[in-house]
Amino acid sequence: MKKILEDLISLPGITYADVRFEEKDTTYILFREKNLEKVEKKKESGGILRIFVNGNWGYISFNKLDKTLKERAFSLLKATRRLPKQEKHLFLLPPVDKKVRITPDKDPRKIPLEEKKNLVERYNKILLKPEKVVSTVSVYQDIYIKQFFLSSEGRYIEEERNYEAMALSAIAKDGNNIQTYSKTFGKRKGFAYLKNKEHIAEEVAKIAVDLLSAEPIKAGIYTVIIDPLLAGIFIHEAFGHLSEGDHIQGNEKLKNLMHVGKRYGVEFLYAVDDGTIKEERGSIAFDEDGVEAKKTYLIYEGAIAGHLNSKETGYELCEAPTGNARSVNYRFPPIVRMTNTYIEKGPHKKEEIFDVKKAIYAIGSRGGMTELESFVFTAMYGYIIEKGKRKKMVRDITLSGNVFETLRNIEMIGDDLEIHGGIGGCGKNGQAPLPVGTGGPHVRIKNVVIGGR
Amino acid sequence: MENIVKLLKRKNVKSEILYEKAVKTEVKFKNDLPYAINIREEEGYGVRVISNGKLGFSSTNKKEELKKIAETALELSKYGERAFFDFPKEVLLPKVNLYHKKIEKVTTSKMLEWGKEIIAVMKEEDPEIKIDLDFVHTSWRRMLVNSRNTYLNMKKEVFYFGVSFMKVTDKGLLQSYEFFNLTDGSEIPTDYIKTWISLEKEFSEKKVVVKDGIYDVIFYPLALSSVLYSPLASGINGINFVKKISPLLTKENQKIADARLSISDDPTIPYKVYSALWDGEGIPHRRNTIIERGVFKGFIFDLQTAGKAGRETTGNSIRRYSTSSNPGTTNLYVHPGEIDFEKMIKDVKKGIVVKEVLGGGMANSLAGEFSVTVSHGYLIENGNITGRVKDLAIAGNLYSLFNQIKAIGKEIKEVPGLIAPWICFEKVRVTSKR
Repeated sequence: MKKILEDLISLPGITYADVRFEEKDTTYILFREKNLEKVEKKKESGGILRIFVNGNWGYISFNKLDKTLKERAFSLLKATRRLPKQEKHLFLLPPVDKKVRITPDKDPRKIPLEEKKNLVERYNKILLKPEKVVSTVSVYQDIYIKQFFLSSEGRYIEEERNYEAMALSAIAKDGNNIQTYSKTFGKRKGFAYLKNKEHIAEEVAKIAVDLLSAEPIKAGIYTVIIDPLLAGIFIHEAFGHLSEGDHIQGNEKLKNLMHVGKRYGVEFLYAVDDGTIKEERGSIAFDEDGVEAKKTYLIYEGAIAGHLNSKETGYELCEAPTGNARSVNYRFPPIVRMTNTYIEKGPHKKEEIFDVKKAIYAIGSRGGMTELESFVFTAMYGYIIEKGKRKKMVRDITLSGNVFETLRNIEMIGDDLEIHGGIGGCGKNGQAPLPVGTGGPHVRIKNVVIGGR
Repeated sequence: MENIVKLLKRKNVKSEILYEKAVKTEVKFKNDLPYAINIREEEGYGVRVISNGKLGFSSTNKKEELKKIAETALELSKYGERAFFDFPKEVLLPKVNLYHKKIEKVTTSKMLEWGKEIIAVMKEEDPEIKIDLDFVHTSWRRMLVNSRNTYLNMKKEVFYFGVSFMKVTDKGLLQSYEFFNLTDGSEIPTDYIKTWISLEKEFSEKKVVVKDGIYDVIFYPLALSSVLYSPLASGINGINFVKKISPLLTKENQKIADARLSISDDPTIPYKVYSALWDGEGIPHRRNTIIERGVFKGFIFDLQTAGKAGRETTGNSIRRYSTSSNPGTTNLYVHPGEIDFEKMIKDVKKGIVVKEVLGGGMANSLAGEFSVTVSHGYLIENGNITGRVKDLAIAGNLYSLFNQIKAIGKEIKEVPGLIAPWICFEKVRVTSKR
């Protein structure tokens, strides 16, 4: 393989080139209500060649590593040369030759299909138990990837990756009132990690039914306690994306806002992106720039501490690549992405956090979106907390605001860190879903805007 | 492909093979400058089988693996869902102009040249903006063979660009996006772009603070897509009919919206992004009326969901070679009204023009609910735009909104998957930070 790739990237007059080829095996099982609706096994293979010439990028993605590819590489080179010359450079690295393998117990291809099917079926049956659950979707997905990477710097990497995850969702109905709740889980710990998760299925069914009697929250400004799942989504969506070098590059305002040393939060606030944690959903050995994964502090003692970079943005921002150039698959060139992003443990006990006159306890996430400093995301559900006591359940909790103000409004951070992963992942510039981990402890924030009716 | 189908037929297995090849060429501009040329080629085969009445599916990129994945599909059919249909016989296809011959000849150098022109035009209107622009040209080939001797072949090209600008002022950040489909061979809409930039410049000079309250809200098609697309697409989806969880379940032929509202799902409109001759299962495409003068006319199905529902497929199988079928929308078309934009604004005493939103699809969209933040909009006071607004939350239910229509605009705009006019809704709750 190395030889074929070497031949492909030896092009005249380029500053840089790399090629990546991946082979992928996927299993997908879906139960809807009582029925096994989908069992799919897919094989996929393809690659992408990137060339960097006169400060411009050219890419070509392909399925076949055949003889015609070299010709197409030349015509791409010709087209890219036509772009006006730009003062843009890459942060280049010394050669490396690495093979990263997964252990056999982590290889999802080694688990019989029957066993995978039985596990989803078991959880799905639990979801179906309550009378008011009218529909369910239970999904199992595993992916095995073998990736080959070679760059003109002489970096050759072979990396195997395994992903196994499940998503359980229940739809409950009472008259015209329809409520959904779902939970997804999965790391890179092998199939075994997905076993013994009956309690999650029970929780999903129960919350979906409970949501039927929950009231929509009234719009207003609240003190909010977010759970580890939502804390993870918040730090990833609202803040993490702003730390991405490609967003900062060429945006003077953001450069200024994200200047290292600038203080935004309490001194016990630390936020991290770490691709090196063992077997989390966002963990990788090398990114798709061929750079080693790292642990990067985004916020340290409440102040901006670092950014996430690719070879391109690392050079541009006079920083260094951080192992965050990632792509969802061979069809896309890498862009700056997160790996596992979380708020580190804080000094507060959970009881202290909940010891508040009035607050909303917001749990889980139905998704989130950001546009620079503005964010909006919706919690799965929540509770009204009064004088430290959990009162009635509420739904339709859409939190929005300015991330920097929100960070300043953090009052307390718990000592109960959890990192989550699961089916789906992050989306950016049309590349989704990228496997990531997100997490944090319970966090209490004042003055959060909640939309509603 | 035909050989594999024949081979399976001999084993008494019904089958279908979908082949796709797409070449997508993108020329990207970032911060006013050409940035990258991206060519994406993708090719693959998906095999669906029905064996002993059960479905199996598998896919690959490699032609030489076709036989192997046919076997995998057969093996998977043991666990597969019961098939509620047989693959279709070949029938007459609609005549739809999918693309203008002219766009076959679009080259990367042409896109570079146009991009520079567009950026120059925009900068002339407002030199302070930073522009990102993406040209996308896709050439797409699709073939489908099945065990009932269907042999279909379709070639399609699509050419469009998306352009956004960003402007940092002391009053905050202004961002705006537009999408232009050039598949019909039309010229770059320079005048439209000029007007867009100059209006944004004029309207955004003043940033205003909005109080919480009830407003008339005018949605731009792009923003409408965020509140309408996801709830409606899931509400009319045959899957949710079969699951009996669509809020429209018992509403067929009943009035669910203002009588001025008509919506169809129409892959036969010429030159649109999702126009095609046949769907993912070889069913001829047709226009499906969803809402006719406020009356809900019906759901969309593919073969399997139609079979389960005891209905006919509406030709809405959405899939790639690498996925088995699901019903889905093609081009959702909201029929235009009669009011022009200026008149629409004149009639508003207190309102918000919503140009772009964040969110959508995150609330309980199946129930019709949406929750968005206005990331770019304008305040209307006594029939005049008086300033720019940001960070307002609007939450509500699409099916209620359908009955709060104040006016439907006459100009339509396409974003991929939705073709719609401006729509003004009345009595909408808007929540602000201040």
